[in-house]
Amino acid sequence: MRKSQIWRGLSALTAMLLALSVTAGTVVSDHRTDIDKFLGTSSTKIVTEGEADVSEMYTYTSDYADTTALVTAMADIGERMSEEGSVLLKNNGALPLSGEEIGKVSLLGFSSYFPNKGAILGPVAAENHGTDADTVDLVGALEAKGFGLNATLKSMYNSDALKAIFKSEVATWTGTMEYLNLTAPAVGGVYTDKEPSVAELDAADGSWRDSLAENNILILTIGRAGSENADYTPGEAGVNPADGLNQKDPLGLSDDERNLIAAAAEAKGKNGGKLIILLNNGNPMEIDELEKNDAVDAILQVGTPGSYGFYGVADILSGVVNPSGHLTDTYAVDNSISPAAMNYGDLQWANANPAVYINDAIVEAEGIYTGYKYYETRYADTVLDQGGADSEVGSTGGAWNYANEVTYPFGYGLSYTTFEQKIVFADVDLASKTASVTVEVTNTGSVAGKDAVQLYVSVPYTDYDREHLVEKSAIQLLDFAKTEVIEPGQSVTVTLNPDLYYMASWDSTADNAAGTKGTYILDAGTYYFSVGNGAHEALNNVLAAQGKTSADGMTADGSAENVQTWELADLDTTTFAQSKNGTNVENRLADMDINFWMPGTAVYLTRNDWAGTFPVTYSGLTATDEMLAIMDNDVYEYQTGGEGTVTWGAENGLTLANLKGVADRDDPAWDMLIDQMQLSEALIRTAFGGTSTKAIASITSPEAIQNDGPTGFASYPLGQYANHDASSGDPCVVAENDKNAGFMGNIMANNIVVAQTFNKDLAYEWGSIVGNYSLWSNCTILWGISANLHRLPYCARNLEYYSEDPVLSSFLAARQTEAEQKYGVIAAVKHFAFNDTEMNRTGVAPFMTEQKAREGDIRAMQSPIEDAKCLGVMTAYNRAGVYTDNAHTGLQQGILHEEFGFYGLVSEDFIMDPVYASLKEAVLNGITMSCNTGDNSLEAVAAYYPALNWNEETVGADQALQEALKKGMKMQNYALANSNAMDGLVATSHLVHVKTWYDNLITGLTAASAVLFLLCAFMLFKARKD
Amino acid sequence: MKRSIPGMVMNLLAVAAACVGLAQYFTNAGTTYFKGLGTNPAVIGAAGAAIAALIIWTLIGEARPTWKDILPIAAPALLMFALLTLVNSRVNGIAAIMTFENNAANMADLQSALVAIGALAAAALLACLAAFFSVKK
Repeated sequence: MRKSQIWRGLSALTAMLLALSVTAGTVVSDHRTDIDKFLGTSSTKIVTEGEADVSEMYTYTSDYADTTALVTAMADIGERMSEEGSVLLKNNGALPLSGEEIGKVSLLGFSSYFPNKGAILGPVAAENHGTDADTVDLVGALEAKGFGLNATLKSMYNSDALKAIFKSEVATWTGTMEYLNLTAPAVGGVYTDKEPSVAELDAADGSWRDSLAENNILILTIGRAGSENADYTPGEAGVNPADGLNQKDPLGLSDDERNLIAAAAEAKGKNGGKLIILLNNGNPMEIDELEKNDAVDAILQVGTPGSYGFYGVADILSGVVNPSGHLTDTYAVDNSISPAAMNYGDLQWANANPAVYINDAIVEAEGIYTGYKYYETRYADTVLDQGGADSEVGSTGGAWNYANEVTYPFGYGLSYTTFEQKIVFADVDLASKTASVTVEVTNTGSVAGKDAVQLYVSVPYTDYDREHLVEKSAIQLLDFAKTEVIEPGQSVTVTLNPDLYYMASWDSTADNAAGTKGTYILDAGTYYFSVGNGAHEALNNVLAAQGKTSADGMTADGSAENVQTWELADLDTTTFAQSKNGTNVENRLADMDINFWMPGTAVYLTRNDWAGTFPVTYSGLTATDEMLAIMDNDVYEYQTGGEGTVTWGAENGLTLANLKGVADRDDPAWDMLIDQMQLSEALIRTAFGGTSTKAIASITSPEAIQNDGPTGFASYPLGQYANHDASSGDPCVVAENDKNAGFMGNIMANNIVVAQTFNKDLAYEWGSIVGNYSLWSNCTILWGISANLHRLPYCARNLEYYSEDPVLSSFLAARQTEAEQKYGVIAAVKHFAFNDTEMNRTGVAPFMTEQKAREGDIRAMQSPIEDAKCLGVMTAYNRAGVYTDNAHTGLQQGILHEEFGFYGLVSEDFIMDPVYASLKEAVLNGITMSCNTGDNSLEAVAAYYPALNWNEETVGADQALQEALKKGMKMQNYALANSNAMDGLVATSHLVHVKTWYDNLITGLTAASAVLFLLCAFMLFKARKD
Repeated sequence: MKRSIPGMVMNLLAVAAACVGLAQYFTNAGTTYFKGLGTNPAVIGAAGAAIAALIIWTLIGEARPTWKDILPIAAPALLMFALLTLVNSRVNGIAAIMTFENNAANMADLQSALVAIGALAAAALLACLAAFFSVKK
C-alpha cells in the first residue's frame, strides 16, 4: 500500500469522525432533555445573586426527616393499601387462617411465585433492592409474616422445567424479552394460557401431590395481567386457538387452571385442609364457576398490589387485619355479551386511511349502561316489568335473569365480621346542591374491622326521560366513606354530604341558561337514598321500598327501612344550569354522536326498550367527505390581520419567582410577566414539552421534571434530580451515597386496589406521601391521576384507572390530587378524555351521546379538576368523535377550561406524529404543550413539524393564535409558580446554561478530529507531491 | 485500465449500501408512522453526493490532479452526516414504538428506518475502508 493511499484513508477516517462529532452536537442538542435524564446530568443551573432568605427559596416542607423515613412510610402505606383494598369475595369460614394453619401452607399456581405486582407497561411496580424498603413478592411477604411454605412446591415452581412452560416471550427488535409472570396480549393479539398442566407438574416433580398432605392449607393463585398498550379481545376470538383448553374468554378460566383447582380440591378431600383462591388480576375475571364450586373455600381478590401490597395480603390471610375492600367493577358471568362489548376492538372505517390515522370508529351504543349501571338497571326493570328487560337478548341463555349474569356486583366485599348499616337521617338541600345523610354502622359480629359506607341513589325514570331520550341508571353511587376500626358490638355514625350534581342527568334537549340546548336536570318524582354492601344490595333496598319482594323476581328481599326518600315536585332544569364557577352549561359534544354526521346510523340503548335497542356492532362505517376533511387532522387555517397587537419581548423586569405562590390568576403581574416572553420561546415551548418543561430564559421559568405515573414517581430514581448540596439550605437534601438514592417511587398498587379501599383518607395519605417524595426527588410534574372509566373489562389498561364508576374514581382522584398539591406537585389528571381502549388509540374515533360522555369518562375526572383544582391535565391519543382529542373545542375549551375552570399546564399524550398532534388546533383549545422533544430552537421545531409552519412569520401574523399562545404560557407558568418547581428560586435568581461532560467530550472530539484531519490531508498532499 | 479488486469491491459495496439506505429512507418516509416527518433534504443531499463521489471515484480512479482525492475522503463523511441526521429524526419514533406505541403496524413501519440506518452505517464504513485502496493498478 502506498503512502498516499494510507494518508488518503486516514484523511477519510478523520473526516468521517469530524462529521460524526459535528453532527453529534446537533443530535445532542435536539435530545438534550432526554440525554440529561438518562445520564443524570443538567444543562442549566440556577444562580442567585447576593444573599437570599432560605425560607423564601424553599417554601414546601417535608413530613420526613430523611429518606429512610420517607421510603419506610411508602412501604407502610403500600401494605395498608392492600390491607384495605383486597376484596374477600367468598369465605365459608376458611379465612382467616389460624396460627397453626399459617405454618403449613402450599402455594399453587405459578403466579404464586411470580405474581404481577403491577402492570407490564405503564403503571409498573418498582423493584427496589438494597434500600431501606425493599420490594416484596407473595412468597417473601408470607415468609416475612411467619407463614410456613411447602418447600417441594417452591422448588418445583422455580425449576427450569416449569419456568420453560410458564415463561412468556415477547419479541422486540433488540431481541426477546422473557417474563416469568403473566403478560397481557398485545392489541389485537390473543391470550395464551401459561398455567402448567397437572401432567406437567407431575413430570416436574412426582411428589408434589404428596407434599400437600402435610401442608394442607392450599393457596392457589390465578390471574390476568394488565398493561398499557395492550388489550384483551372478547370471547373465544381472544384466546389462542392453539391452546385447546376449553377457554371461552381470555378473562375466563382455562382447563389448565380448572384442573389445577380440581387437583387441589382432590388433595383437600384426601388430606383435609382448605382451598383458597387468590386473584392476582388487573381485569375482572369470569369466575362464576369458582363461586359455585363448593370445594373452593375462599376467594380473595388482591389485584396487582404493588411493591409492598403482599404484606397486606398476608395480614388478611392470617387475620391480623380484617378485609374491608369492595369491588370497583362488576364481575359478570360473561363479559363478552354486555352491551359495550358489542362495539369494542378493531372496528375499522370502510374508508380507513392509515396515512392520517383514520382507523377505527367505535360507536358506544350502550350509552350510559356500562358496568353495574347496565346489570343493575336491567335487573330493576325485570323486577319492575318494564322495557322488556327479561328478553333473551344479551343473556347467557334464556330470558335475561340477573342471577345468571352477575357473579359479584359492584361494591361487593366480605369481612371477617358482619356489619349493619342504617340510614338514620337524610336531608336534601337543593338550594345548596347538597344533602346530609347520616348512616349508623354497627359491628354485629365478633371481629373488629372497618366498613365501607356506600351511599347510592335511585333517581326517577319518567315519561319526560322516555320522550327526551334521557337515560337513568336504576342505582348509582353518590358518595362513600370508610369507617375507622369498629370493635364488635360498637356503632359509629358516618355523615356524608353528597354533591347533588353527581345525581343530575344530562338532557341534550332541554333549554338552558345560555339560550341554547343542553343542561343537567333532576326529574320530578321520588329519589331513593340507600346503602348496601354493593350496588345490588342497595338497589334491592330501593325495590323493597317500592313494594317489591322476591316474589317479583328479586334475588333477595331488600330492606325498605334502610331507604330514605326525597320528593321533587317539578322537573328542575335550572339548579345545575351553571357549573361551579358560574359558567352556563350547554351541549358541547353534540358532534360526538355518530348520528350528528350520519343521521340514523346508530341506535342507542334505552331502558325503555332493552330488546329493541340492544346494541348491534357498527363496523365498516363509511365516513362522509365532511368527516374525512376533519379527520385529516388539519382543520385550522392560519389567519392574517386582526385588530390590535400582541406584545412580546417587553422589558418589565419580572421573573417567575416574583409570582411564586401567587394563586390569583387575575393578578395583572401575570400579563406583565408573559409580555416579556419572545414569540419564539412560546412557539418552542408548545412544540416541545416532552419529558420536562424547558426553561424559559426571558422570565426565568425553570425546567420542571415530568414523571409517569399512577403508581408513583416512576421515571427516575429518588436521587437523580435530588439536591445533593447540603449547604444549599434545602430541607430535602439527598447525599450522593444515600442508601435510598436509587429508590424508585412507583411502589403503589394499581388504582383498582386503591379504589377498592373506598377510603378517601387513604387516597389523601398516599397523595401526601407522593408529595413528600416529590420534594425529596425534585420532580414536580406527575402524570399520576389516571381516572378514565372502565368502559368494559377488556381494556388491559384498566388497572391503571380506578373503576367502572365515575363517582368512586373522581372523589378518590380529587383527594389524592389535593394532597399532592399541598406539597407542590403538579398533579396531572389523565387522559382527558375517552381513552377507553388501547386498540388503535392513535386515531380511534369514539362516538357517544353527550349524556354518556358527561356522566361517564368526564365525570370520572371532574372532581380533581373542578374541586381539587389540579394544576395539570394530560389529554388523550384518541379522537373525540372525528376531531383529534386535542382539537375538540367543546371538550377542551368548553368543558375543561370554561365549565370546570381548569387553569394550569395541559400536555398532549405521547403523540409522535407531527400532523396528528394538531399543534395549532391544540394551542387554540388551551393545550399548553405537546409531548415531543427537541432542541431549544425554531430550526428544530421546523424540522420536527415540517408541514406546520410553526414559526414567527406565520404565527406572528395570526393574532388569535398568538393570544392563545400567551394564554397557554400564562396558564403553564401559573402552574409552575404554584408548585415546588420554584424551590430554590427567588426573584434575583436566573438560569444559566452549563456545559455537561458530554458537551465537553463532543467539543474535544471535534477539535481532535479536525486537527487530525488537517494533518492527514497535509500528509496526503505531501505524499502525492512526492 | 487495470482495476484494483479490493478498492473496486469496497467502493461498489459502499455505493450499493448507500443506495439501499437511501431507498429505504424514502420507503420509511412514506410509511404511516413516519410520514408526517416528511423527507429531510440534508439526508438525501448528503447521501446522494456521497454516492456520486464514490461512483466518480470508481470511474476515474486515482488520477491526477490530486484534488480528486477529495472524493473518497468526502464520501464517508457525507454518509456519516446523512446517517446521524437520519437517526436524529427517527430516534423519538423508535423510542415510542419500542414502548408506548408498540404494535405490528408500527413495528413494520420501523423496519425500513432500521434498515436505512444500518445500510448507511455500513456504507460509511465501507467507503472509509475503500479510501485506503486504489481503484486501479
